Amino acid sequence: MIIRIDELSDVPIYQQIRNQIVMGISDGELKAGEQLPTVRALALEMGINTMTVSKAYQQLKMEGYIMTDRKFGARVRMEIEKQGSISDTNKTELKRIVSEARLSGVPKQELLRLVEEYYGKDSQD
Amino acid sequence: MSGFGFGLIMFICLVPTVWIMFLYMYPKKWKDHKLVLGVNNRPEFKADPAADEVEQIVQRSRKQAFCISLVCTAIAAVLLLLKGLALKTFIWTVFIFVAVCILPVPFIIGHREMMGLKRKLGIVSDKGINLVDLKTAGSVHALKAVRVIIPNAVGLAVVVLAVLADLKVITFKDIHTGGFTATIVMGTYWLTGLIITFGAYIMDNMKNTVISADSDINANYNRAKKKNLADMVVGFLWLNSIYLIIIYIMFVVGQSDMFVMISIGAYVAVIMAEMVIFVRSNIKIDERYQKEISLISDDDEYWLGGMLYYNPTDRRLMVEKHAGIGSTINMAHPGGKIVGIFLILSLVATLLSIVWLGMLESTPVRLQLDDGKLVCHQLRDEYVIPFDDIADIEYGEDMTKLRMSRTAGVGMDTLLKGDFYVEGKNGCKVFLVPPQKAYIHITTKSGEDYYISGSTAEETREAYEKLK
Repeated sequence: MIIRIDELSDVPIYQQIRNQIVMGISDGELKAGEQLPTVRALALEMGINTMTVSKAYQQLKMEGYIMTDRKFGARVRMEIEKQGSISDTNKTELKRIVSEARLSGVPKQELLRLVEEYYGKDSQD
Repeated sequence: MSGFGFGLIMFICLVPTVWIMFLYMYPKKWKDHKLVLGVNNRPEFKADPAADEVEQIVQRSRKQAFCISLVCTAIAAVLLLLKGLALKTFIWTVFIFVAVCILPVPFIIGHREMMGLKRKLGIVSDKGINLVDLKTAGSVHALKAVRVIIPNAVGLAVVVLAVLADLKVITFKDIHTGGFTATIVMGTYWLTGLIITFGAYIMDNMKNTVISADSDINANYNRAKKKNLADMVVGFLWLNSIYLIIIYIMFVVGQSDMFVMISIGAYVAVIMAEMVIFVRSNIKIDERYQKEISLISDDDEYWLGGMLYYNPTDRRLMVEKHAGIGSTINMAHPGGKIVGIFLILSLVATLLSIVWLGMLESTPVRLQLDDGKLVCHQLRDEYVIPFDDIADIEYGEDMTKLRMSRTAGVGMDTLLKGDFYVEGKNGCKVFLVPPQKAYIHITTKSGEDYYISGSTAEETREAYEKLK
């Protein structure tokens, strides 16, 4: 799985790492139980501070996407808890995206098509 | 070392390096390479009408670089005929400095033209974008510890042997060591191997290049590149250790200048051959994976002239080069700035040392006998021997028959000055002008040995007659 970090983005780097790992798990690029690189290795590879990677991993752990272990390092959780609801933060973010799309004149069908594409057509409702 | 030997070694070092750099920086089949003149080789470059323009830029740069390489080779061959070590060292250093400055000029011009073409095609560099493959991060290595430890350990064993012999803990029959000369020479070679090992370790741990969305391709590509580097380094370390054994044998059985020169020449030639193999393998790997490239981490904007990396947003100190072999330093990194200052200071120190060498060769030595003492003087060095301190004095016709090796000081074709190991005795003070063969051997009451001569045989003879 390729992570794309934008050093000049307003989004903090730890947040970018966190977001892309979540997307990777959702897309199936990162399988359940799959080993993630160590904090040091990923920091070295990205040319960033180990604290930044550590913060991303801590957040992913807190949100239940990964588990960390002294012996085995970080791994994708075998079972990710399905809450069945969208968090308030994500609702606000989704609202912002829909608003921007409407103001830009993006048709509703186009937005729904994208949602279907990203969510996965064959996924169960 | 003779002046010719020095010139030959410089020739063996410089000429293959120039041609290796030429082959690596200016590849003929540019479409098969990841980078063209330090710019990421994008699909847009290979499509018409840009392809013709890129072809013209590449061929023009290649032609210019070929001419410069050819001229450098010719000049290097002419320099072999020069006489006088100081003059030769000075001219070689200036020549290398000029060659290092001129050789990349076609590359820098070509790089600028490629960047212009890139802008013309409307390609925008992904400034600040960093691609990382999560599956290969920190997991692709080729340098196994055991492969570097064994040759380094063999080298260390020889260095330890040299130290023990210099400390007289062990002795060989008719050993030609003393004054830690063998220790210093072999320690230097061994430390070179250690520094190379350290550099290779850094390169083996460097960021993996992302060329595809497929992690297996990225892993295989990086593994192939790192294995090639590891093989080259391990080969060099074994060569270094074998050479250490050879030079130690030379110390034990006695060395002739000719043999020393041939062995250094062979050592450098093998290193150059190894470099050629390494470069050819690297080119083959790039060609093999060219068709697999689907992702480009475009950091072209951070490369000044395609050669200097300056990226304040990148916290890495070492990055893979865009021009040439190996890795380079991020000049925006605090460590990079320190290294840059160190390099400038080294360059100034080199130039100053050459001026000093020139002064050493051009300043005549003086022997003065007055006020009851003998004074040997040249530049800032002065040996003073009071007449009443002289216990024994002898005159020698041919100093070339003396068995001596330098411990500290100057050892040139035209001047031997400092502490030497002479005829089995360490710490002898030497002040000799080799072009004239006569010398005076003085032993003082305090047990010190001096080997001195004037600028001419007559001056030496005259001094001896007065001292006698």
